[in-house]
Amino acid sequence: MQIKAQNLGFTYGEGTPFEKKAVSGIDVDIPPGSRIAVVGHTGSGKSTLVQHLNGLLVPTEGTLTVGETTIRPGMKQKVLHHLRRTVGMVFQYPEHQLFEETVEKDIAFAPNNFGAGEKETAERVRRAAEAVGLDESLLSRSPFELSGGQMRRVAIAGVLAGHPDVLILDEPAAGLDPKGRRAMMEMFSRWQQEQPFRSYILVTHHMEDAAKYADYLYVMNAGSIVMEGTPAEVFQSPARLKEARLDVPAAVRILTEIDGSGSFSLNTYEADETADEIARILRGGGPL
Amino acid sequence: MAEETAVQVNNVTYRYAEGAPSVLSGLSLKVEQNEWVAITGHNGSGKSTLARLINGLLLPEHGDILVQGLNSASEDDKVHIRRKVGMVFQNPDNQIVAPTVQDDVAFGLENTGVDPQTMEKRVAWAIKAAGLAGLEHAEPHNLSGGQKQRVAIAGILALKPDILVLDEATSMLDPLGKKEVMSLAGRLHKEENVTVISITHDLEEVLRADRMIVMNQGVVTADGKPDDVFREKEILDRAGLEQPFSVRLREELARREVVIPENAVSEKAMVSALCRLKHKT
Ligand SMILES: Nc1ncnc2c1ncn2[C@@H]1O[C@H](COP(=O)(O)OP(=O)(O)OP(=O)(O)O)[C@@H](O)[C@H]1O
Ligand SMILES: Nc1ncnc2c1ncn2[C@@H]1O[C@H](COP(=O)(O)OP(=O)(O)OP(=O)(O)O)[C@@H](O)[C@H]1O
Ligand SMILES: [Mg+2]
Ligand SMILES: [Mg+2]
Repeated sequence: MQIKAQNLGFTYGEGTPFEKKAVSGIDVDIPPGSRIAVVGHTGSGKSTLVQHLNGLLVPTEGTLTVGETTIRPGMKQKVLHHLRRTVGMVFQYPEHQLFEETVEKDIAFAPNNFGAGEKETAERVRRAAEAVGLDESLLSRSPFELSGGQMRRVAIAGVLAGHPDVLILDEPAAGLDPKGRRAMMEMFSRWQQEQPFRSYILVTHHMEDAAKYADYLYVMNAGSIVMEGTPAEVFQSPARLKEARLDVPAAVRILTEIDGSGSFSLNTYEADETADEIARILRGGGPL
Repeated sequence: MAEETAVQVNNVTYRYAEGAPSVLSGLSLKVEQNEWVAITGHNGSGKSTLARLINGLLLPEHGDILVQGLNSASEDDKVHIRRKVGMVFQNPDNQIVAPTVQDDVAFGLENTGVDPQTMEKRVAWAIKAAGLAGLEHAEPHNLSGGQKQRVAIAGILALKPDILVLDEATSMLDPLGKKEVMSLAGRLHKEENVTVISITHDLEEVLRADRMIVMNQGVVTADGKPDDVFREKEILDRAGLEQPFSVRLREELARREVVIPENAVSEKAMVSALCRLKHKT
């Protein structure tokens, strides 16, 4: 599904004394099959922007096209309900999307609601729980009586079980233990690759995850997109990232210090690859 | 007066409901006054439960918890414990109580007997320290995820607790914001002898601590200096942990015969060491 925003803007409480312009002049163009990351400082407008993509917020300026649907200011949220089916949203705080009595019912909500049969639903719940590393013993528990990381996993499983075409992931790994974070990000990556039309849009403060799990980055600052490009392109301008209160990943920072000319190339941004590059530079350069 | 142990957990067992499996099983640990301890471990290992036991929100089934010698099971002591232990919860929504940022940060101070002038000063200081200047009159529920987390932090800072418990308090902050909160905690630790217990999945944050405790299924499986514990790959793996990037990089470099001196620990020191190596070749 193609996603295209043109000059999109959003003001909270428009026309009230408390109105607050959160994003403005946003242009994005996301073809099907994309892995996108949105990065930016606290309060820069990331969550506001991505909540437009499944119709949760309606722009107050500009237009947004999601697949066949064009959304303009003043449109009723109700007519956009169908988008929730194709665009799945993992909220920044999992507590905001858990509501059922048991973990199992919570994960089953979307498939049930979208008319999957009983058997199909049960199968989807099982598969989603497994994908997010949720122990079966937790299925009968209340989703509110779990640890923070367990709630996060339930919320993600619930979205996966709805079989969306596009996943909006707002800090999906926050609160996961380090191995869980890695496993979850790898799972999203595999999910995306299973179908050529699947996309995800990842909001993250982890520059390493943005570098590794996205092919294209949007950098936000104070409600606007101030930089965009492949991770390598964006990381070539550390000074501009600093202006946006951000930094490059540790691997890039270290390599840039050692080799000012920036003649290094990173793919995974992991320690082994970084060590290879450092060793190569210390040997006096040599072929990439 | 002799320095009292900040927190003493003696053989504590806890379960959330009768018949439910125990979440902590015979857990013992001591945190001395003015220590900085990081607690890590897999999701569901019992870290937040331990934090809630330390500030008396939960009571142990067996064993006891002493905070500066005060027993959390004693009704009389509990009030005092709440004043000594300032806890920033994992989910800031649970901590928001007032309609404006300013009132929210002041709320906890209201019943502590602090005079209005001091209170005003403290609130202003905490708001600024937590990076919320300009948002004093905003409604906490209408803030971004990271801004809410800052409100929760400010509310606890204003209380000036002796013992600061941070339960993943910076998980939604941008990297710079994280650094700011950590250096603020560092200043309180150094200048005002605050004891810091930081529960976190952020491995770089763990490296800042004097001591690191690894929890696994309700028990402690490692307890020591971060540098030492981060060498125990088996223990880390079983507890859902990894080595921090800097530690992995050092090992990967050593494997390629690029040796960085042991005492070059920070990123800056590592980079200087590497630059010296470069100029030698
Ligand atoms: N419901 C709301 N009502 C009014 N203002 C809001 C509301 N939600 C967010 N804002 C404001 O809009 C701006 C953008 O917020 P948003 O949540 O999009 O930021 P973010 O980039 O997701 O930040 P974070 O990294 O902290 O999650 C912030 O200044 C915030 O205070
Ligand atoms: N309110 C509750 N009622 C019942 N069980 C609970 C409750 N809160 C947590 N648990 C269970 O207790 C165990 C420990 O949870 P705790 O929240 O202490 O873990 P944690 O180490 O903080 O995990 P995380 O890293 O995910 O925050 C988990 O198995 C969890 O499911
Ligand atoms: Mg957000
Ligand atoms: Mg927890």
